[in-house]
Amino acid sequence: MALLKKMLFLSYMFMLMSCHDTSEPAKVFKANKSPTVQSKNKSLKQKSVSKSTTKINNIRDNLLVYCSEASPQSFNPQLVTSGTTFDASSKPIYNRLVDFKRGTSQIEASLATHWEVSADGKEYIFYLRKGVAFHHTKYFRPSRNFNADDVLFSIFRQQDTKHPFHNISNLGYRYFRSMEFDSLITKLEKLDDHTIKFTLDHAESPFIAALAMDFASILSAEYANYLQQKGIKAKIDHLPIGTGPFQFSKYNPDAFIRYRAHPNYWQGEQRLKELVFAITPDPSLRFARLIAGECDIMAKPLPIHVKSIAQYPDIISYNESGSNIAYLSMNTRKKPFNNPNVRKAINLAINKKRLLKIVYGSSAIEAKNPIPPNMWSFNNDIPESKYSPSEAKRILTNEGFIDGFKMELWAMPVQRTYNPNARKMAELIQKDLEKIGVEVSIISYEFGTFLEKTKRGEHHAALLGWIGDNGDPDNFFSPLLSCAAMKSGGNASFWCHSSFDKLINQARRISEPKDRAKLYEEAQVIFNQQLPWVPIAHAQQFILANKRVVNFRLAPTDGIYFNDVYLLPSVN
Amino acid sequence: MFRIFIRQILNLTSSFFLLCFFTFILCDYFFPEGLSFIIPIDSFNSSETGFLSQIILYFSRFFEYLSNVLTGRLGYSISRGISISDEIIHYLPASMELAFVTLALSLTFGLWLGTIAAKCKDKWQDKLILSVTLIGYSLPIFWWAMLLVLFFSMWLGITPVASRIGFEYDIDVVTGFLLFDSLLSPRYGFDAFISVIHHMILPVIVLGTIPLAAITRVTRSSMIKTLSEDYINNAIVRGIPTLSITWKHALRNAFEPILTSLSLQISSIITGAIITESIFAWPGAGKWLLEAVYRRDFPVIHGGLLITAGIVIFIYITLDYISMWLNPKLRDRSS
Repeated sequence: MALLKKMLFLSYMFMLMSCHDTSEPAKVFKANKSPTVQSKNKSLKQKSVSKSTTKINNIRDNLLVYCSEASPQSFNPQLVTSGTTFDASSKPIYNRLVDFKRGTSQIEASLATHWEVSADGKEYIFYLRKGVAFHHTKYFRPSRNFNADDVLFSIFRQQDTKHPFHNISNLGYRYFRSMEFDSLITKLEKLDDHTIKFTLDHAESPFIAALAMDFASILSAEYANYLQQKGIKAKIDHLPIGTGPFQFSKYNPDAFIRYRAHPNYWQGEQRLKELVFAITPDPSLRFARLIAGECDIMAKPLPIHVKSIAQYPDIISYNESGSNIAYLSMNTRKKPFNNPNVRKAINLAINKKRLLKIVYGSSAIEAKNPIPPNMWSFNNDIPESKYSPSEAKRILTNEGFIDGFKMELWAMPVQRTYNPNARKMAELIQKDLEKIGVEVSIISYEFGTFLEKTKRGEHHAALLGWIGDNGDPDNFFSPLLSCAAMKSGGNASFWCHSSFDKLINQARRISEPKDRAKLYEEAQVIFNQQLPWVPIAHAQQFILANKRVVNFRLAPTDGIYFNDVYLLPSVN
Repeated sequence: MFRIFIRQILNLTSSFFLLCFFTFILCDYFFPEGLSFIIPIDSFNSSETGFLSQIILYFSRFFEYLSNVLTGRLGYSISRGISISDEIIHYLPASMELAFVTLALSLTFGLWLGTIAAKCKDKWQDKLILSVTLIGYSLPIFWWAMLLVLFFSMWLGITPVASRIGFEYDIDVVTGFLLFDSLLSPRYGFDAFISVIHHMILPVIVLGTIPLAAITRVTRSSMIKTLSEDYINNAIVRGIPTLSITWKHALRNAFEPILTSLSLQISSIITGAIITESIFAWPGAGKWLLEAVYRRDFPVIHGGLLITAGIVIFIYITLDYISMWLNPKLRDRSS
């Protein structure tokens, strides 16, 4: 009201101090168009101002806003491999048979209370927890608690091609396939309502750790039946039902995701009543929102943001040495990358130190192997990467590329934990390779499209990365470099080396870590000779959060968990 | 007037038909496989190679395309699998809300400032308004938006950074227009509505700067011309109050070029909306289209552009009709 009056007065003054020549007395100006918005002729419930502001403050103290970096592809973690989708689906909404202890990569019991392994390592019996309630939402009311049927449904949907839900939202069950679960699990049977038995094709020591991974999340079989009867099976991936600490409430694509605390969560209801993911793809905007207090936690800060929080006393940073790798994948199916010497030359020509300094600042370490140094079986005997453009040029000349060659380099337009700025990295690599006569053209696609196309092998060379999720070296080797992964699309270099493959497959079957380590070390030697990639860096992961966030921890296996997180009341 | 109305309807339908035709020709020429989401790819394949039969085939495909477009069957998004028409219904209200508010405010302030500038021609008010509008017209939107966010949201902290409403408010979407929905939801009382307006301040300023500048300038030049007419002089001499002359008599007569400029501003608002929505994380059709381009999501790009162009045509023809209603001299044009 005061503003309106001021405006009227101002316009009156304007007219006063002007400009027409007659001595007409100035009249009071009445605005004939009031600058208000659309009609609000509704009856409103008038609440007293003080009551509503405290109410809003109360809501805000029990609501955590997390600025996430992209929209999830689905609410079903079985279908995808992207960390963004896992953060939005498997971590808050679902549980698995076993889970990682918070902040570590150690396994602890979750939906399974305990388990037995047979002597030959091929049979696993899991005893399931009783009294685990599913989510109770507007679109579904469960009538029973979690039992063995749900585990059977979750596994069979991915494994059995004739399962009624197998082809729903079929983005492919990539993780399931690249872990070779479809051939590994020969039998899964229900011994009784709370006991199940897996029979494996062969002994596989990472099997338990694999069951803690996101794709092994347990869905509700009763919900699936209900949807099937109603004929809307696809909803299982859009309106999820799980057993996890938060239940799905609302999703506004590209805008926000709302979750509510699950009141009957088997570990007890969360202190945080509501959780909101504010989807903000632009990192500077995310940072601005964090500073302004709109978000409490910010995903994937740029190195410059991490550095600048010194001037904001309310913001603290969490960091953890990441279990990840950023690499340049060379498609060995396309010339000239089918030639290992050419690949070696590319490795020699790239100045990794400079690249790391410019793209990561000081928040990453140089990579020479496919696994990070904090992973057991890391082979430190492998020599550090050499930077020698002259040697690279010599090799290229020997191989017949006197004038170099042309190549395409694909870089993703989004930040990932392992690579905050793939395009900048591509530009630096372009400069380096120019010196040895290789002409690079940089191509970009939206992240989802980028992943799809690289999985189909449409690229020449691409900047990719990987985040390990279970603390087992097999989690790097198998999905990225095995011959099986070449068929399922995780092996972006389409590199299938028989001795390498034999070593990593053997390491999967035995359970003694010392013996497995020896095999992995040998495998890394072969990798270093063949170099289907240029391993670039292992990045530290950072998250920025408001001081009010309590109990938040980063796991080395990446991913954001909101279990047991809560907010301190705001001071105003 | 009824005859004119019919004529405008015919204009509308023929323009839309031509739009579809050109879109179809372009898509078919450059990317025929891409149209498989609207025209099933194996239909209308004939081995006849005669010229006439080719033409008939081409037009059969076009009419299949047209019928699908007109009934709203625009295909499914590649990246999300949701039907395009559903996505449009979801995203369009947010953009329309922003566009309406922006247009209303920039029209209001534009008329007001332009009139002042016209009345005070060559005086300091005029010069000030002219220079400020020139700056406003030349500002790149993304830079201006970031500047405002930096100053008002981060430094002063008086406006929010992004989104349509604060996250404390869990509003059920009824109409898609948060200004209405926030009032329909009784849980938060007036607070949610205040939050919506609060969140709209910066995007409206950013989006409305260029239309405001343009409307101000057009108003100014049009009013200057009108105010120099004889009948205005006559009215002043006869003692009609100045304010009445300015606002009732002169502006009404000066309104025609302003209306023309307004229809041009619609396009400017639509392009501006794409950038503004991306910067302020406003979940509207502009942001949706932009991300579809990133994702190479062809059905979305096609559907979005068709709908946007259709809306522009509709608004243009409506404004044309309004200007004909206001100025009878325009009506009897031999068509």
